[in-house]
Amino acid sequence: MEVMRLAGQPGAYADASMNSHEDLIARARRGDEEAFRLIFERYTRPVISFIFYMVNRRDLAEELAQETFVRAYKNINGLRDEAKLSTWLFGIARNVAREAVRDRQRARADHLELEDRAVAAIRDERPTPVGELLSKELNGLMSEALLKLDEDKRLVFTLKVYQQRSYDEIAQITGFSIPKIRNALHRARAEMRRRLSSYLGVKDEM
Amino acid sequence: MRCEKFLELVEVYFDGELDELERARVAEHLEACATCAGALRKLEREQRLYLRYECDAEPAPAFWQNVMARAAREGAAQTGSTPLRDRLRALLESFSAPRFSPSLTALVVLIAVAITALVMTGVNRKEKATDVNVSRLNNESTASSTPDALAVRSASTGAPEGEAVDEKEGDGATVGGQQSPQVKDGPKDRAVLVAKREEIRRRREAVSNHEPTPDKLVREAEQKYVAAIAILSRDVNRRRPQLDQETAAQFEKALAAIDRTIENTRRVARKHPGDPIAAQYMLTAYARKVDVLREIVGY
Repeated sequence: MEVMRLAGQPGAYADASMNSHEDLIARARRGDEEAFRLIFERYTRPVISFIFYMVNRRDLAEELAQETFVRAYKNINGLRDEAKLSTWLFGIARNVAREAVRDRQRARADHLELEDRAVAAIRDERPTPVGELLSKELNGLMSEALLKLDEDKRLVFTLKVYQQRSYDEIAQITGFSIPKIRNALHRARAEMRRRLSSYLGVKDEM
Repeated sequence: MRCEKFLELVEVYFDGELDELERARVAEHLEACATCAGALRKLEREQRLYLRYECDAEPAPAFWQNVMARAAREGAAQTGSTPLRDRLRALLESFSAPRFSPSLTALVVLIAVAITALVMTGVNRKEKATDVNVSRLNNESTASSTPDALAVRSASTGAPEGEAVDEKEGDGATVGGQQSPQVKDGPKDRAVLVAKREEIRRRREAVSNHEPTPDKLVREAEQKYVAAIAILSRDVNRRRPQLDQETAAQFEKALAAIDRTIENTRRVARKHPGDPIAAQYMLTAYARKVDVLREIVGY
């Protein structure tokens, strides 16, 4: 509706959606909450999901996603290139997730970390489409394997595997060079492969 | 060997990151090489497995309500209970009537106070020393018709200007002819007088060689402020694009006002190098600029 209204404005005849997008960003820069929400709402699920794979806790992922959007709202004027809005937002999400991971590492002992994973596994009892049901055992294994990747590898792996980002986009989000991304991704896959080898072996026989 | 090279590329091929030419070459090789084709199938199978570990990313119904509420709350907390404009006004008012406000700039304030105290101590000590010298000079020679104020200023300057005055005083003929018309002493007395003045001059030089003069302290303090301002300005320039236009304009206005004050106080301080009040006002102006820059960086 907003787009339709804006498209009717003078000068918005050629590329209505682009003009409305620019207009929305201009309004968001002036602190217009509605415009901000219209721009960013579509990124809610990808951001929650990205943070989930980084911190491995669904409830925390939602809280940190909120934090990401709050920071984006407060720093919207720091967005230089509007075409890179998505990578800019994921850059913020990455920082928020990283801070949370480091805080948790500092604050909690290993046994509590294990408890977290157990809680996370229990929490994962959500409705899953028939045929897509993943055994709790594999769920736990995946979660553990991801957590064992170091921060850079987990970041690159998550962005590539779960967010389907290109190397260029990953470079924009992380600030890493393309060779570093390729290397980290290769190593992350090798580690994951090793940790899930038994499961992959079973699958191979199927 | 050839296959190893392709194996490296298979992963990049799988990620869709090869250019047209390379992609065609790898595709051709995959047709012929079972090992590389197997590696590609493995990657595909792994990917399917990873994707089965999916996240229920459906946000809670109140997700965006919470985001906007937090943004509003944290925005308010960040700017304090008073709007930015009021804070800026307070900052400017406190600037026009120099005083240090207890804010997050407490450290800068402490440094400024410490520097000012150091400078003032230096000035006082110098003034006392000069008073003694001048009174001794007056008592012993009755030669000085130079006003005390001039003597104090030239002494406390400790700089070439002061030296030049001393040199003139040290030159008997010039002193007698230009500055001390009352001197009627004979050549012997004059020689004693010149020797005494020379001794005072040497003493002053010795003091100035071992202890920084107040002017030097002021200049050092000024340099420290200038360096701090340069560092903060860099941060401010990075931060500037993130500020909305109105806020940026308010800060620009505040900075322009402070720059004018720095310029004015600096001119006065340069004109009266030994004047503690002038130095204090100038250093306060610098401290205030640091204050405002830090406000911008933290905003």
